[in-house]
Amino acid sequence: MRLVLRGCACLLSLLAFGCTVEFPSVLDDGFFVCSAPEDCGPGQGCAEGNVYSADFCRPACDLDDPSTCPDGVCTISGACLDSCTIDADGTPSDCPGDEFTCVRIDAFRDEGVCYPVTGCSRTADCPPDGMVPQLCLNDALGLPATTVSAAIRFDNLYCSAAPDDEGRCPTGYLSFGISDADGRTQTACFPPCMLGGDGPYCPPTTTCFRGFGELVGVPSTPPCLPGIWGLPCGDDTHCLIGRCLPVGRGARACTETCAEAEEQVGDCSGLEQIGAVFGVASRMTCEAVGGVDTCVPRYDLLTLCDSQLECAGGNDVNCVEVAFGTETRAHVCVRLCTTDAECAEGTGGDENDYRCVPTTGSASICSRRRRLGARCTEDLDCREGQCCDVGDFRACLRSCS
Amino acid sequence: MPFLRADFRLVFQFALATLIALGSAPHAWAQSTDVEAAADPASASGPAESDAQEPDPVAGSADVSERTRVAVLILATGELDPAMAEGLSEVLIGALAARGGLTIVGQEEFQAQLGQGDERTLACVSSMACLGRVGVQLDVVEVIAGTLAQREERWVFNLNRVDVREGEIVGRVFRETAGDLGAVADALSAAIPELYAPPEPPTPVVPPAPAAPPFGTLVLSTPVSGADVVIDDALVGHTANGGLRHELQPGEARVRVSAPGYHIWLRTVRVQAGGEVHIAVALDDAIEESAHPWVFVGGALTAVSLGIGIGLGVLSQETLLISDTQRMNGEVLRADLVAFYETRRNEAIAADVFFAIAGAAAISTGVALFFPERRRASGAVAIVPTPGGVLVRGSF
Repeated sequence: MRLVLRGCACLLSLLAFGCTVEFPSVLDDGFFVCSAPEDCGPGQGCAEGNVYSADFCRPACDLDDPSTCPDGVCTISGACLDSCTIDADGTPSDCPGDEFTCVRIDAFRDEGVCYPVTGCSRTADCPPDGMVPQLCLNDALGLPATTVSAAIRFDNLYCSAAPDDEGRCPTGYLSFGISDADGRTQTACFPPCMLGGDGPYCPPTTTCFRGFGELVGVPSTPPCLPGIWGLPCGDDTHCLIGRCLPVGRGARACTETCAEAEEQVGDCSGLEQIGAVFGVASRMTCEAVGGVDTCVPRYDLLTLCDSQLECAGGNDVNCVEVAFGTETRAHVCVRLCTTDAECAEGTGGDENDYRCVPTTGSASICSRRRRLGARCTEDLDCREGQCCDVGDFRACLRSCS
Repeated sequence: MPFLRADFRLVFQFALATLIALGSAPHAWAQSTDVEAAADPASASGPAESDAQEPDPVAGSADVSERTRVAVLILATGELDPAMAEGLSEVLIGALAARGGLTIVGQEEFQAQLGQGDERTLACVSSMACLGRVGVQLDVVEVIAGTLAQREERWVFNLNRVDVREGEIVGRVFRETAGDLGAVADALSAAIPELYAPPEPPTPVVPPAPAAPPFGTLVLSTPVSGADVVIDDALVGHTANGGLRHELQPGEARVRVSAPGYHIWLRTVRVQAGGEVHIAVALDDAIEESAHPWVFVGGALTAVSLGIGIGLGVLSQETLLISDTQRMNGEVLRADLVAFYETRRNEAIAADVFFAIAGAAAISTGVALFFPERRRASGAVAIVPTPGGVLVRGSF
């Protein structure tokens, strides 16, 4: 009997400490390149990459089913990125492994996502990447430290390409000139993106907006713009301000629920103005989408548009391609008109804000007069000042002199 | 070894023939075991002259035109070489042939009729019923059978002449002789007349004073049937119906009773002429203890499972070294790495299963050690020489 007991004890110890195989942690924490989920193994998805990163393996999820990615952010390609948090003092929580950095994906909330990029809060944090100048994204996009309130932060972003001393962006980036009211220009380098294709995709906090590509002159490859209220998006990683919520007809946009908007800015209309920074003004109305009261953006009259979101203003407003001058063509939400006053009707503005622009055809369309620093083709486009040549483009300045 | 045995036999027969030729043994030596002796007394003058001194009822009464068929057999007992007994059988055949009027059937035909080996033949020699049956099978009138044994420096042989038709012993000889085989041959030849001596006629008027019977009787009683009874290294029979009754020369005798499944019973008894010695033989059960068969099965299973488990365990610990560059450049896909470690994990699981089997088998083997298999001994293993080879008998 004693022998039996000893044997049982021996067997149990063998079972307890028998052969085991520990899967290396790099399988969960490491960065693995993929081109399809099959490259990643069972239960894995292939997260879309971008100009900073190749596609990489992450656990699979369903964008429309949050329960499949309870502790992360599900991307449009069905990969669950780990969530992270950012303390009030800007200290991010740890991400798995050394190859992922906590990147802020919400300027209002201390939420981030673990992404394979080089993190930064300021340009000084970015190591030189060979011959390519680096800027922290907040500096590269000229984002203000605060926009709406002091609660908005743009730290814990990532290093991005910067234009060289001559204002040229690295190969593969889209450059866009920005002018201030006095004609001082700056070049911003935007990662390119493509909608509905195999990429490139937008890095975190940016979103792909086709209409802006038309304005830049590369409509088939639009730039990745910071995901702010009112812009279309694919998933939560795309929105720097707001959440990427369904807004109907299968579209998603960076916005808030009506309740959150009320808490943050009073109501949905408080979310309207930020988009105007990029010439994409939208009208936000609280609507029930999928049972959730959501601030649904629609492109304001005369703003850039495309098929990603609808134009506001009813049946007489359509997103159509129009020509601005001889070179620039863009999709804008237009209304046919005969006078400037007609364009101002129902907008709350006046003739100083809108003008009726003749087209190459027989019809004329309403157009919004631009603020100082915005691009223009002639003086009448500007709300004030003059439309001046600032180099590669023309912008509304206080004075061309 | 059959060649060596055959060579030894030839040498022995040659030596016996030489002894017979030089001595008073009959000259009718024959290689054949089935000898038709010459009817003409002149052809066997030596023995005829020698035996003329003795009354010879066979020679005197037999019709020479009707030869009497006689089967002859002498068996060696104990450790004695069977070839010696065969040689003496030939001597006996020669001596009988010299008497004339006999057709002699030799030992080999005897055994051929039996279709069995020396051991069973030896048992048959001790059984009147068996001798009678064999006699009928051989179509003989008489069977002359006996055994040869060597006790210390002395030779012991006995012969029984059995009338097959009457089913009774009509002649009996027992001799104990010192010396070499030649002396045995001489004693054998000299004993022939006694074998054919007529029985003492009854004296109806005045019974003669009872002569001291030449034999004593050993009466063994045992509940075990079929036990071998060996007296002085000679198998004398098997117990049946509660025992065995056997006549033997007066004096001390070593009695050995053995049966499969029982311990050997050994005793030295003293038998007086005309007396009976009753012995109750209590054969004790011989229980063999051997390891339970599972000990061997479990042991083998333990070893094999352990070996396989160790092998799989070693395989399962293989690792794949990849660099960060390979991983980040897509040279190594995660799916491939997962598949690799899935295989290793399966190997580890299989190894654990085999370890568990080995452990269980080891435990059960240990338990089985405490429960040896007990069974009645079926007999010791023995190697018995037989003509032309050896016979291995016993339980394994």
